[in-house]
Amino acid sequence: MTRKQLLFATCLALLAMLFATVVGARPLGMDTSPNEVKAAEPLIIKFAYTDPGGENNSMDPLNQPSGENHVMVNMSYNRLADLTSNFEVVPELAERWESNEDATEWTFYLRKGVKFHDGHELTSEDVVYTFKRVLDPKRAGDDTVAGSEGASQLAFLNYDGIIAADRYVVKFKLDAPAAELPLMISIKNTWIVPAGAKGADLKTSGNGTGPFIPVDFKPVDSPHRFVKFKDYWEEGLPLADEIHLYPLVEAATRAQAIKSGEMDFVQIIDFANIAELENDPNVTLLKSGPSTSMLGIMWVDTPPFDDNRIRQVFKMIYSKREVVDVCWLGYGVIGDDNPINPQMPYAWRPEEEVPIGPDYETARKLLAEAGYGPDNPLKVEFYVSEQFPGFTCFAQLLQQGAKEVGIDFQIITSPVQEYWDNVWLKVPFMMSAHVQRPPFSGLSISHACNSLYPETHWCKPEYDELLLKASRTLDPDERLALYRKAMRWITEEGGDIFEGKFFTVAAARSNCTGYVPDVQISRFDVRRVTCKR
Amino acid sequence: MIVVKVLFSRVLWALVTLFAVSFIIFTAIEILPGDIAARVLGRYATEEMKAEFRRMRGLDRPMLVRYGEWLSGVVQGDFGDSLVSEFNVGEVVLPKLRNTFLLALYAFILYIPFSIILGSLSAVFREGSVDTFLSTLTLIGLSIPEFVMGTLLAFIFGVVLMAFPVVVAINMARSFGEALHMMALPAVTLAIAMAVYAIRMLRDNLIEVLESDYVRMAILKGVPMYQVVLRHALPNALVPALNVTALNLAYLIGGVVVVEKVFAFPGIGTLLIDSVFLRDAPVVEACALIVSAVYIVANLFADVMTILLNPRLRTAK
Repeated sequence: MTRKQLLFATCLALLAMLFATVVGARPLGMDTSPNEVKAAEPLIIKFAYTDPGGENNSMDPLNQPSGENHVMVNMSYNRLADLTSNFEVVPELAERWESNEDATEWTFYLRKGVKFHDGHELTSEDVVYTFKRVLDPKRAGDDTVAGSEGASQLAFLNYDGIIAADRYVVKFKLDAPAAELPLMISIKNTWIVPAGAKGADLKTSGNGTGPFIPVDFKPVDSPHRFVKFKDYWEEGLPLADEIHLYPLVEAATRAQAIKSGEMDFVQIIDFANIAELENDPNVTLLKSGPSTSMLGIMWVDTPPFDDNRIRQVFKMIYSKREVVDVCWLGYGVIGDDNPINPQMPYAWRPEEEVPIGPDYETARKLLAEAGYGPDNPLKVEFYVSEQFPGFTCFAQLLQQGAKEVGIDFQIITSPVQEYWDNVWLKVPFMMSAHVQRPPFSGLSISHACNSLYPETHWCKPEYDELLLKASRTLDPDERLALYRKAMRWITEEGGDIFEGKFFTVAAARSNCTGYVPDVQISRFDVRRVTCKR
Repeated sequence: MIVVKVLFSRVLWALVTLFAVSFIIFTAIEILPGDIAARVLGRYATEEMKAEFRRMRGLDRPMLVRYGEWLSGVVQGDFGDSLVSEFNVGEVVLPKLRNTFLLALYAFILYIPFSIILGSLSAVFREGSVDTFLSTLTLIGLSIPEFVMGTLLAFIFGVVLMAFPVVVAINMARSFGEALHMMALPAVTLAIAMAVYAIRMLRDNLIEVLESDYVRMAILKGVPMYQVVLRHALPNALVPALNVTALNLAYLIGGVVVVEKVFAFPGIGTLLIDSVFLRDAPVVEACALIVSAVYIVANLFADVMTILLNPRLRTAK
């Protein structure tokens, strides 16, 4: 072979390979247009979201490691009741419910004629199985292992007390009163699955009663495709024929994709990209209420944080307003050093009464009282990672304030993916975040003695008793007073710093409507999403 | 035949290398802090759940036992199941590999004429304004990271001109043409990233050859300049550039992660990164071995091509 022939052959081979790969690849996924009749062009909505779970994704409601997962589970399933952004409970699969006088027995009446994707009708058996599976998968007959917080959040339920009283009636018989049961059971794991369904099947089938059915589900698809469930129980819904979910990790890509019109909706727009999109006539920005919190946490049983004076120092050496304005570019609200932000109607004090800070003078005084001074400075190490926007910025504001009052404040930055795994709950002084929760779960999720996530090592039997009493108090005002006492207690003595909440900003093309970002990032409603083409 | 001899010893070494790579990766995943149970079950898993998960996946056994099992599977052509999704590794990796391969090939085909033409122009008009202009351009190209280049191209051609998509939904492409159109931006980004090195390399080599006696002879004989370059100079200048190309090839398969992220391209780079974070050893192993193999084969290919392109080496003993 001469040199010339050789070069020529190489070029030919390259071109042939390119062609062969594309053509040969077609059966692998290309040109699988929806199998509907080509009568009318199906309305396909392209939705971009962030936070991909990768290989970890599953359509099993019991296993939801990522935001991507929440989104998909929300599309294919329903719960007994739904929650509004203000945590009001509204009927979903249950038409109505009632309790006995002391709230120890709750009865839920199911909607009739609701179909699962596989065609069978929803009955009380499905509901009973779902709750039993969340409480104890093994005992319910499913040997799946799932990382759900459901079992601990539903620990107040009695496994044997969940009863199918009639084909469409479910009873929850409890050992102790639960005044807010409908709210308490509407968590991210209690999406109703068919009786007897196993995690191994659910994770790819997504067989629920929800508005959309996953098409050939694979954990790392891009996009994930969902088609309309024709027998969906809500008349006239969903509006779209198909929803395609695209995981777009890069914030800049998400902004460009909505600007160029390739995506119809983007679930989360980074604060930094808001300015360029605000002036774009083709894009509408959608803002949620206060959603995810940002907080510093201190172990209240570990020096130096076992001294409440020191804890209070860290709560007053920065400006709460500055955190919102600088770290979140104004897209958030201040917190009151406890899980319930002061803008909530049920917070213990209104926003106007929250001290904004900084108060260096009091901080210096408290430090001196605790025995620290110029010759004996307090030294701390603060762990942070840019989990959510503003984390590092907040740490730096704390550091500036610490310098002002003579504290040696070291910031230790950890990689995002390792944070929850290797740092969280393992060091006494670090940053954390929580989704928005109503008082009963917000105040107990990491502050109760038996908490799975003892972030601040806050364990006071009297505090637990207070929450228990509240959960059993039927009178709403009395109950609220008890919750407020708990909030105030954490503000004044707890190991929580700031706990302000930022807004989730989503974007839609201006010809698209029907999406409202929820305060809970795990809530994703696309039933009314539609676009004019 | 020297080619056969080279091939034989190199393939043998390649196998040893791949074996070593697989062991190092297995150990590395083991040593990395954090474990797969915590990753899969998430922030809210209890210790019991994690223990149960490890038991079910057989992760409670010693590392060497697991490595041995995995290796014996690989020898038989079975890369095992993903520890995370329990899908077969082949099922997980192949669609992504196909996508990345497609993108790499596309970029490579753009890269060859791009670097040869610009490199030749630079060399022929050396020290002139064309050369200065191209040199400045390649220098700028060298100093811009791929993700900036990608974002820049996406902004210009995707957002402002709206000529090409910024999200490469390759799985949704309905035809060959549509696939090529979709992948244009990432492919061009990669081609530029590779070409800037090759252009400079080729320019220097070509200048050297153009100043040699036989080229001067050809010019004095009255051969047209384009023929001098194409027939006499270029083939000899290509040989050293081949090694750069081999390295570029390896970069294409393994190093496209950043570009994949910018364009949300479902390829093997993204899969590799995600799997490392999930500590999913079988998937990481499969991806890493593919990348290593490509690297080895690309270098081997370059060596063989060098021998074939250089008549003096072909007849060596």
